[in-house]
Amino acid sequence: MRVKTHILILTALFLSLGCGRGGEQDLDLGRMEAVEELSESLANDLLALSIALRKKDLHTIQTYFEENVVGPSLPVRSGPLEQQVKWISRHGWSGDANPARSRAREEILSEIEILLNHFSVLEDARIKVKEAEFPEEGKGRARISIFLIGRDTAGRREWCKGGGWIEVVRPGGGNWRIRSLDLDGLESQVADIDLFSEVALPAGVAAIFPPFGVAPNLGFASHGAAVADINNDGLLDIAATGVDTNYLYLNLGDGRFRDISKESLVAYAPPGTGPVFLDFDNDGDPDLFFAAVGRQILMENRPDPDGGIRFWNISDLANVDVSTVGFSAVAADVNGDGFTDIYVASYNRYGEVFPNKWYRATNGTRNLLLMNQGDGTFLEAGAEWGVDDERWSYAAGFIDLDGDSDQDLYVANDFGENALFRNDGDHFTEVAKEFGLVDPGFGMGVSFGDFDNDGDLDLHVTNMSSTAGARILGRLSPATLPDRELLAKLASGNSLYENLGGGKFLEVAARSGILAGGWAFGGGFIDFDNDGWEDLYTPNGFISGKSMKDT
Amino acid sequence: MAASADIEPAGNPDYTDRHLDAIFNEGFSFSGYERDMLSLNLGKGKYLNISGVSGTDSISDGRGSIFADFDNDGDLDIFMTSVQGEAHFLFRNNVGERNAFIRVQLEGRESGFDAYGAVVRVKTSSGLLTKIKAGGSGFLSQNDPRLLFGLGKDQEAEWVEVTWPAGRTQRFEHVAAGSAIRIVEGDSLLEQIAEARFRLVDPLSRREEILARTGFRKGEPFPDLLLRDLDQGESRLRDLIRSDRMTLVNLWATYCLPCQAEMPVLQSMQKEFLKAGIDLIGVSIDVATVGGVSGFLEKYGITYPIYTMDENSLSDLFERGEVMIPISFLLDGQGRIMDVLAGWSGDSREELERFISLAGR
Repeated sequence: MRVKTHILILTALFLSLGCGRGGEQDLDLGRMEAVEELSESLANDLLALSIALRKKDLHTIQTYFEENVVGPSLPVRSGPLEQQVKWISRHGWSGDANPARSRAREEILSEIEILLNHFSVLEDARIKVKEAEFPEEGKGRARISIFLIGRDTAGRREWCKGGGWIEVVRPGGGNWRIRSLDLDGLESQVADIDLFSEVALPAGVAAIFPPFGVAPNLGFASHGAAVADINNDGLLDIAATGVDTNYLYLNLGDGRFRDISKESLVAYAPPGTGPVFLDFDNDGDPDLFFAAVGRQILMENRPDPDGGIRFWNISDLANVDVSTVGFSAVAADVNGDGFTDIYVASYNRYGEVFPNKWYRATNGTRNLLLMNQGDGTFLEAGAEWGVDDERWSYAAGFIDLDGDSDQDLYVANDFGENALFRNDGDHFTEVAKEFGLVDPGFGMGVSFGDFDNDGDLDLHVTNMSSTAGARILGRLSPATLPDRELLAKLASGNSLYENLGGGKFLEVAARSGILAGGWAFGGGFIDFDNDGWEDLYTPNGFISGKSMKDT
Repeated sequence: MAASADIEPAGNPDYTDRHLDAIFNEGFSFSGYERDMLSLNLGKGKYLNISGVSGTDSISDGRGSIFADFDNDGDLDIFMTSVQGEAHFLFRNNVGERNAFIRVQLEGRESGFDAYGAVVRVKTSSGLLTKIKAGGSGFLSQNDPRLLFGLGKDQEAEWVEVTWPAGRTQRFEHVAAGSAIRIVEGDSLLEQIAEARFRLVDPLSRREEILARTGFRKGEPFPDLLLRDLDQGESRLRDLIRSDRMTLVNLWATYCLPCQAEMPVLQSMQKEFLKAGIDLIGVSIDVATVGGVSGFLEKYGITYPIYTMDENSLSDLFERGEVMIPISFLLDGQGRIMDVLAGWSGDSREELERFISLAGR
């Protein structure tokens, strides 16, 4: 049996926390894995059904149903559209008020067809298994969630979602087939206008990377982007990193960009991970730093005499060419000398796939603090400042959290607790616990913003949430798990820390309704509609394979 | 304990652990195909998830994102990076521009030019809006260095206050909505910045997108392919194009299933094409399977002119981008691309009829 990645991670986590150890171990991991194996096979069959739904392929859809299906009529008639908020409307769905009964498969299919034909364009359909039990061989019962995303017949974006219960059978080793179906709470959101339009290709900023796992895209090093006005024309230009090159897109001021990666020389520096613009020499133009796996990179913005944009690789002259597995780079003046310094959040050690401790990993590479000497050079001083720990650090943010006019540092760590380093003038002291900002879990992104408009900055940390993870955790009985709450936090998703003032923060993600964000990485606060309230955007998804099937 | 000083030089860590075999070798996903999230702040500490209708919910494996007003129209657009496939996304904001805003640009002196860590507070009817000028945030990302404050329907901000990293605080009373202002550390005067406002380009239609992905553009000459007829006679595409007529070049292959549906339809429309002034040419991209071309034509009753290509011609065709077959390029009398039809679906015949009316006008 193939080792299930989720099981592997969660049981390792579980054991590393000291749960279930000793003579009275009453947690049957073998049984748990067997049930998860069945849940996953059901989830993958329902994914195949989802794809058939998206294609409106009734012929394939019917192979996932028994000849007779028990249940009430499906709610496939859309109710009246009513305004929900601003440009978002909603409507319910209803079916015939018949009680549950045994119905012919054809009847179910014609209802499904009505639902699918509500959409002029169906972009996505997904059925997920939230929880499942398999009381006897070849039979199961599951709570599912379902969503459909597309455009309605009037061309408006519509998102239909709901849940329900299914009973399934698997006769003779084929795929799981639905023998009873009861959908509930189906509701649609409809956008009156297109809030955003994707324009990378016509705007000239599109790029294609090879599939993950295909050379040269072989590592877990990720790629990011930074923005600045590099030529002082009042327009924002974009630097981005890639699998085998760096990118620089010049804003042309007509809605398009020009790829100047090569002519600017940015493409000729080794590929970086996290870019950040900073004016290290205070000459008024933004220079470009790349965190990198290997030696760190600094490129000085020094135009040609004829005005041509050039970024010169001065990494060795400036002494930033220190090796680490750098991910995010963040910049601020740490020691108040008027020159911008750089912190590099560093991740795993080269070749180390797994953390030594799932909950408090310490076998990463050391984080770097590059102190700007004001003479065009930097000095790596992570150890002197006390930030050279070897946790699996993904992202960071500078902020003056204690109001003493120096920059403190918050660091999001994967497989562990996050760090808050208080700036004490010539060194940092870790104070995450005092501030209530430990945030155990899989920290991946840091964003400061004032979500409640009370005049102080709150903190959003991206973490992972996983349907499979939640499913597995749901099976652990509270009695066996003293740290169940902590474990639940680990797979539940993003964190939102409300700044209470006086150096105290309170985690309010669940209360605010933004908890589960999938396998979230970056993003954070953005008031996209200019109403004065910080909204939240988070990109997510770990690895999409050729198959949607999940391991 | 310090890490060993030297690690492998630039290049990504290579993961070949057996637990990841399923992902690498079996093509499985691991929390893949997730849709990116956008949640609307409703005030009162509540958010509403609007991902599915936002247009920002790509299924790519999203990593970093930057929030920046690329077209200076007063709202934040989103540039997002992923880890494979389509790697850069640019989401144009169509909605923020409906509300008022104030943009604040900071220029540090004592705090250094960047002044990263500076905090700006703006008093509006929504409360005390607070933002930090961050030298990096999110994941591997850095947002617009200028801070954009949404004012809703307010005509002005009661005041704008900046706290510089070096400690000084400056406050400016009654700042009008729609202003882009520059504040210099220690300078008591607000500078109004004149910004060029424009709009990021419109999204492509599906047809335009397919054409764009091929690397060819409307109005540009189609490559002058070296073609070979079924008797091995060589000719250049340019010599087959008649200057007073249009040419429809249909790319296909024997192993392409949709081509088997498309080509009989093309055959049935051949007379209409000719009458309308369109010369139809089929070009097979078969290389290893080129021996099957004649049999294929016989099986499907294809009699319009068919050519094959050598590998050099193929690379002329594929070097600029991604060409998926079947695809048909409509060329003018000078061999320039006028239109394109990609794939084969229920409404493809209508598209071909549109070509005919285009030629017949």
